[in-house]
Order: sequence, then structure tokens, then C-alpha cells
Amino acid sequence: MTHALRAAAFTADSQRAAWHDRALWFVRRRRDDAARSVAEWEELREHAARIKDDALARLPELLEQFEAAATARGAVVHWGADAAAHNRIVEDILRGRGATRVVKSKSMLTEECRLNEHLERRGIEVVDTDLGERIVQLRGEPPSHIVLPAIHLRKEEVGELFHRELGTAAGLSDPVELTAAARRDLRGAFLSAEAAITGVNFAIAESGGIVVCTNEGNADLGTAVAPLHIACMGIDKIIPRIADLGVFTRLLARSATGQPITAYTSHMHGPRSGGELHIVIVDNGRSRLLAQPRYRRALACIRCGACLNTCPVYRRSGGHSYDTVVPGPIGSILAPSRQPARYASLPYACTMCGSCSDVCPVKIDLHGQLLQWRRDLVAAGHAPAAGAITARLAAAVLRYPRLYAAAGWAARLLLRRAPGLTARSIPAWSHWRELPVAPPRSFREQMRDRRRG
Amino acid sequence: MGDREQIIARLRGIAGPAAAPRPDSVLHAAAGAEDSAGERRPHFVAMLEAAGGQALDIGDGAAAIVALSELAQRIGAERWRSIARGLEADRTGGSPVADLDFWVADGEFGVAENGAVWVPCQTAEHRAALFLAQHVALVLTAGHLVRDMHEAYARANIAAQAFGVFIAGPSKTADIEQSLVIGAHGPRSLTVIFRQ
Repeated sequence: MTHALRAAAFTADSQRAAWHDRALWFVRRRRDDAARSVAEWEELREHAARIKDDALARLPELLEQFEAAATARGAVVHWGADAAAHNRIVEDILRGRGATRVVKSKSMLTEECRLNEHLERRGIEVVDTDLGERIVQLRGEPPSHIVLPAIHLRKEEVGELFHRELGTAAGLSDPVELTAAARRDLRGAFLSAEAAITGVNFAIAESGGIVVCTNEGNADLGTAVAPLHIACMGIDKIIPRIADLGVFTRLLARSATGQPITAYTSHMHGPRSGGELHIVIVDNGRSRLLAQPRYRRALACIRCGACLNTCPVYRRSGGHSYDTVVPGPIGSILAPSRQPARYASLPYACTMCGSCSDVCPVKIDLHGQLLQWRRDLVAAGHAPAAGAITARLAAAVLRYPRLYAAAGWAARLLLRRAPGLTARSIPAWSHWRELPVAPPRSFREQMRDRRRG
Repeated sequence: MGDREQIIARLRGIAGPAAAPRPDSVLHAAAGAEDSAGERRPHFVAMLEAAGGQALDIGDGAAAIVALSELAQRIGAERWRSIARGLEADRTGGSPVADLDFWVADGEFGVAENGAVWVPCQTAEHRAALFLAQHVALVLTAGHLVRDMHEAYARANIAAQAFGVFIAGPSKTADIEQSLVIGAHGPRSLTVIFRQ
């Protein structure tokens, strides 16, 4: 199924689609205000891009440095080549401590590895504690955005969900009261958890520390109370130095939500007293992306979500239409590297407006990579058949001026005399668009007249 | 071959671009309002308030303790404790950390550009209380403000303890329809107290 077909389900509710578009555009505007408030913003982006490029170029060396430093501080470092290895490692750590109640803060990596399903099948209860993540967990669906997991839902739907699952009053839809209900419900989970799983925003090679950024404080509550902390990170989370955090903490929240910094920026070096800290470093396809020169910079991504918020296609089609863990422009680059056939339509969910590349805090050439994916997917035979035939036809017509003139004449005639037939003959195109009005004369005819006149 | 060796070998086998010169991580920021020492504090307070926090000035000695008790009363705190230097007080009545209404501790310095306060935690109790208490106050010595996060990381020794955190305002979320709600899981209010 293509992105366009899945998006149709979302856009069928035009009011919701319009609301979704406005809500994300609001976040995008907040990001613009935050970026403009920093005079050296462009310089910051340039620094961040160079630091990430340096880190990606020295990845094996930095990972080993990180492992040694983290181990010296009392953390236990594990390595997982793929999702299955990651899930097995986490399961083994939990089983070793007899832990069956786990709180988890937001981690796109554990979503990618489908850790919750894996653990729950084995009798380990995982409670997602980020409010948006908790909402989608209770609904049994994946997040639709990497920073705002439940942005596709209206407050009335959350109210119905909480009425059913948490016993709040029927008809309650006030965000303040709904948040309070979730707070009451999750407090118990925090206090009785035997282990806390978190993601990692930045892993510092020189100090062996990890940094986790949240607004809710849920990662901190979990790790401060539970005796066992498991932090899961992709190999791309490494930064070389502590001082680099100055650059990234200034960029991350401003790009994500327009805040100058998240409410909590937590630095963990080793386990808390009397506790355990395990860090799981995961590849799961990242090294494959790194080996592709045209796409390697996609690994510089710090998961701020700015490219999603600004994307005219994402805003109007909703995160679930991408059918990937990470949706939007960055997701449309990452997904085809894993399963090219399945995700061949994603690089086409793009207008080539380039806004994503303009807002990216680490200067990934997002729209350039999406265009590159179209070329590579066509070359690999994954292009939609209709598109390939059209492209070949267009190439032939454009090569011969007389054929081009004749085709133009025929198209104008058809559009005037038989618009219905024209539309039906190109359903994939005309289903989503209105046919243009045929001009009485072609551009070439107009030019000829002008020169004569 | 284990996963570790497999990953490292795979990464070593990738011919990346030639190494570029190591980039700077500290920017020489453009001059801004938060530059002059006089402007730094109003800027910090404005950013703190934008993050949902509030600032409070208290005197020193006995007057400071009285001011702290008044703050506790204003926010309706019955069980509270202060471990801030010179402002120690224990009104917990033996309650566990999870049941505290209010927790007061020292912050090391504030960051003018975003209203955050650096809080290194030496004890597990302190670490837990910062997030479990219903309300939190952080005490700053007047003048202990840096300009931005570059200065902040130069000054904070983040690797000196197992846990240290920049706190900017109370716990918050906007996960339901982008409506900002203060007090998600952690503290419902965050006061930065300036002492002389």
C-alpha cells in the first residue's frame, strides 16, 4: 500500500486533517520564533553539523571510548547488532533481576525494535510514561510523531479513552484534568516499578555519560525510583565531548517545540548509589546507512521533529500514513534503506519544497536525499509501474520538438472536448488533482504571434 | 564473533569521507541582552517565567527562613524539607520522599538564555525528591548566572557525580492537543530563590 492511499484514510476526515495541519504549523512557528531569538543560529547549525560529521567519521573509535569511560563509571555496556539482539539483551537483564514491572520513557529505538511487544509476550509489563506515548499505548497504536506521539488525536478521543481505561468521568475532555488523571494513574506505576527503561539523546564519548531530555520529568522519575536503569541507544547518538552539549542543547528544544530548553536535561554518569545502569548500544541497520555515502548524513539526525512539523505533506497526511516508526521527511529517508520495496512510495510523499532542509538543526540535505532515493528506487526496479511508463513516455516526447508540439495539441483538444475521458485515462493523477483548464493556444503559438506582431 | 566485534568491524570497514578538522564546540555568541551583568538577571527571570517558573528574593539569616516558610504556606505545602545551605529545615514529620509536598535545595548557577538552573545531586534522596515532590524550589546565590549553555557546560562539572540536571521550570506536557499543562508527572511549580 502506498503513502497516498494510507493518507486518504486520514484526509477523509477533512476537519481533523485541517486541525492537524494547523496544530503542527503552530509548532513550526514557535520554532521559527525560537530560532530567530538566537543571533548566531545559523552558526550553531553549522557547528552541530560539523560535530556530527566528525562523530560519524570516527564512530568505532568514539564508541569504544564511550564504552571504556561508561564502564569505568560503573555502567554495564551491551551491544546489539539488530532489533532481536536488543530485545534479548533487555529481556535477559530484566529476567536476571526478576523484574516484571517496568516503566519506560520515550525512546524511538525501543519502538523501532518493538520492545514492548517482545517483553509483554514474555510476561513483563511495560508502562509507557510519556503522556502522549501512554495515550497511544492504551489505544494499541504506534506514535504518529517522534516528539508529539498523540498529535493525531483530539482531546475528546483522549477523554473517551481515559473514561474507558482510567475511569475518568464520561465526557471529560479538559487537557488539564485528563493530564491530572494520567498523573494519578502513572504515579503508582512509577513507585512500584522494578526497572526503568529510557532512551538516550546524547552519549558522551569522553566522559561515558548519557543525556536524556524531557519536559515531563518521566525519565527522571523512573530512574530515580527504580533500582535498575536500562538506557537504549543507537550507535548514532554519540558525540565526542561534553562541550558539544552546549551546541546541541541550544538547538534541540528550540527546533522541536520552540522552547529554549526542555524542562529537564539530565546527565547520568554511572548508576545511582545502590542501583544498576545498563547501556545497550544498537546498530540495527545504521551501519548500512553509514556505508552509503549519499545517505550517511541522515545519521546526524537528533530526532527533534522539526522536519515533520514543517512538511506540507506530513502536516496534511498524518504520521500513520507513513507506516514507519519515524515518519515525515527523515523517516522517508531512513525507511527505504531497510525495506526498499515496502517503502518505495515514501520518497514521493514530498513536494520538493525544501523546507525540511531549511529547518534541520544539523543541516541534513533532506529533500536532496529524498530525490536521490527516487532515483535509486527507480534504478532498483521499485518505482510504481505507472510512474515508470509515464516517465519513459515523457522522456520520448520531450526529446522530439515535433512530437512535443503534437502531444500538446492533442492534450489541449482532449482537455477541451473530453475532460471526463482524460481524467479517467490517468486515474492515479487525476484522483487527487483537478485537471487544468486548456489554454486556447500553446505557448509556442503565442510566441510566434508576438514575434510577428 | 559477538555483536560488539561485529558492529565495530562493520564500522571500521566503512570508507567514510576524509577526516575534516575537528570542529569547535564553543561559539563566540553574538552580543545579546543577556551579555551585560546587569541585564543577565532580568533576562533569566523572563525566561524562567516563560518556562512556567517564578523567581523570589529572600534576605538572609532568620528572615530567609521565615520567607521560605511563607512560600511553603502559599503553595499549600504541609510536609516539606529544605537542604539548601543555611536554609535547612525539616517539616516532613517522617514522611517518605514520595509523599513530600515541597522540596528545597541549592542550585549551582542559572543560565540566562533559557532560565535553567544546574543542580548536581549527591544523594539518591535528593535526586528522587526533585521529581517526586509536588513543588520544588532551587536556591541561587545572587550573581551566579552564566550567559548561555556554552558557558554552562564550561562551568558545570557534569561528570563529577552520577546525576546532575538542568531544570527549567516545572514539569510540563502539551501532549493533548498541544495544550500546555503544568505538572505532568513531576513538580507542579518551580521557584528560583535568590539569596544575597
